[in-house]
Amino acid sequence: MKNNMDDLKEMWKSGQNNSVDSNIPVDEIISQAGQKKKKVQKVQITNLAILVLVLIGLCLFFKYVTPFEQLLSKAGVALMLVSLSVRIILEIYSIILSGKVDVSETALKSNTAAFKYHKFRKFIHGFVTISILVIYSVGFFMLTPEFSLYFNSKIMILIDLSFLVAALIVGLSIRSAIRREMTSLNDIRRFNKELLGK
Amino acid sequence: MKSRKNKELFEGLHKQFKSMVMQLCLGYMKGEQELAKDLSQEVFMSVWNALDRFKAQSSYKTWIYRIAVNTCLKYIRDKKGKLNITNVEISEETKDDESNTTLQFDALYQAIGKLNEVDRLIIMMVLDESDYSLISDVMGISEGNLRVKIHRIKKTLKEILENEK
Repeated sequence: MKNNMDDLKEMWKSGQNNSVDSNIPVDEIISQAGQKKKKVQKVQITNLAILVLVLIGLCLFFKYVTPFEQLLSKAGVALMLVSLSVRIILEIYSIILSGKVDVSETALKSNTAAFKYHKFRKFIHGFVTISILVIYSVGFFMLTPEFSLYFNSKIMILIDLSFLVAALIVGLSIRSAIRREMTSLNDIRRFNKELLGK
Repeated sequence: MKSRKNKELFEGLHKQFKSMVMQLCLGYMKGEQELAKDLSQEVFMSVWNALDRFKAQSSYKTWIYRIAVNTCLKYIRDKKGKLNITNVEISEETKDDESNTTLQFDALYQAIGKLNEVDRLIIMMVLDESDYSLISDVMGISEGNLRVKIHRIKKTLKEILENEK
């Protein structure tokens, strides 16, 4: 095996002339690139659309189906709607941040932008979502005294239990999302350390 | 809708740089051809999607190298746990059939694969005879830092190759 640098360079050059071709037509690459871009945009828009639809649904529900009269209930509704609105605004900011990760920048700049994005995602999945979940839950339970005027205790228990189950599912998804972001963050941190030689 | 001009430009870039990108991907993926093909395709998909952002502040070679390096680093992150990269085993059968040059390539890819991801990418640009200012412009680090790094990587690569003799 050659190990002189000049020999290796020569070998590398000759390898470029003989390297296997990916054999994928340019038109197919262009088509797949378009599909990939659309897929990313679709995921972002779907996430945002779900949150906006839930917000609109809640607004309509509280306005037309159960127009609360007690002050405590109104405060509960406000907490729920405000927390959801904050989550939507942060999701929009997150989409803007993801757009700033430019693969045609230097490795250091691109990695730093990716680090900032994943750090923000971790913040959203962690602190923000947990806080919003707590505020949302407090808001929800503030509605229950007025709810109990219209529903019997069995239905009230059912409502509370189903809310707790939903909260548990959200909690589990928060945990897996944080783990995912942590893995990405650790990798980017390692790449930047290797780049800067720290 | 991107213009016909963009498509012609992309076709030209693909033709000119596909071997360079493929070899970088092969070295990065430790000689695993299927993974390298997949990665090379990802690189050119990123090139197409970034084509409108090319500002002519650098050469096309630098620009494509940047995209290739960033796509390689991102690929490992995205496919974490899903990738099964094993060093390509050189079988007795291969030894009989293939030329000595092929065996040397496999050994070189495997040696490069033993370096960390960033060092792997840097040494492959060195082997491609890219000058230090280009590599520095691709990686975003100073030329001084790069020189120190390259000196260390060459030494490590030499040790790996000597141990494999």
